[in-house]
Amino acid sequence: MNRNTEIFDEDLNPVLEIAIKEDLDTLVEYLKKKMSECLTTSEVFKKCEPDHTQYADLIAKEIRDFGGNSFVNIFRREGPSYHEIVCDVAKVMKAHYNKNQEIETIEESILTTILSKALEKMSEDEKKALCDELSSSNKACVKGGTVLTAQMLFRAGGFASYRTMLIVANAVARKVIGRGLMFATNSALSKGASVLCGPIGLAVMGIWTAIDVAGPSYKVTIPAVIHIAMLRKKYNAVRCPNCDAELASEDFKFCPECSQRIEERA
Amino acid sequence: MGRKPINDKPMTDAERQRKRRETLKQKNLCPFYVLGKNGFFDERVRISYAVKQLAKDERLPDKVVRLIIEEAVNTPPVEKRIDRSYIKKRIKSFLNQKSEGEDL
Repeated sequence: MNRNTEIFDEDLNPVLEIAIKEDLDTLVEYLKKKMSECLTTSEVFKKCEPDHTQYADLIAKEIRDFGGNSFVNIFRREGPSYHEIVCDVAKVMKAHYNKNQEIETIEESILTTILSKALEKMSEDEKKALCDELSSSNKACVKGGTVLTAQMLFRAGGFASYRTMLIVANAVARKVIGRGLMFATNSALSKGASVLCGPIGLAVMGIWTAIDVAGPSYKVTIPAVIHIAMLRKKYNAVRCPNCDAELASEDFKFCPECSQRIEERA
Repeated sequence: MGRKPINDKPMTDAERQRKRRETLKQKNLCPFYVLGKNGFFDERVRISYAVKQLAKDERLPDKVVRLIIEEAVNTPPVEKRIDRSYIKKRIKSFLNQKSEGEDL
């Protein structure tokens, strides 16, 4: 595990450095959209290009650089902390946040804002499709108010909230890079995510107007923050190593689906 | 960090900003004091390199290596699952990579 840079952020590097290359591919595409990026000029990128895991720390550095003022970055020798970038994005998206909150909470608040805007634009049929896609426990809440519904969908916990985030991240990727996310591990998710990209795509388009007003660097940081929030949920979701079923907590000693003993931790 | 109060004069915005940047810079640095240059006299560094060498030479059974990794991940305890996975990846990589212990 070679390090290409000494710059490290405790909220960003661990997520990117454990991610698989398909997960990092979307982030690299977001970065490539900007002319000012330095990632593609680095030696390690030229050498190992499709294998993004080899330079995950450089991707993290690049994202942080985009979150700060270029001149200030020169004096600071690095970009702002990832927590600060997420707070900036929450401010632009008009999400409710407090800078002292945990990063997961702020990210959830950003995605709740997007999803509640999407739910406002959804027809009853589309809401029903969303119900069918998500777990049955969430069906009742979709009939309620939009913000409350979005909050409940994200707070469902574990794999269910990861699926909700995946749908949002997929819609954003389609808008920014013209294609959806790569689903190396779970093809069933990709089907549902593409069905629902329409209404969420509309909500994302509305958000894009806000980004254009806020400034050009947000074209990288907003999609990147949404994608990283999804990755954080993905790697935090606890799944059975035998049957891949979602588990409510990592304290489970046996899988409720396949009854196998769960030995693997972390 | 910051400065001592001068005649009860409050800090200027620039000074406060400088102090904040210093705090952020320090946030991810964990000082690890070792005895002697490159930890020559430090027992912790020596044990760490010894375990690495033993794992590399396959003189430790897989079960023991797994036990060391599991224990190292939780010492000191880490709350977040992502952080645990990351630390585990780094430890595995440390135990598998070519030994650098010869320069001690």
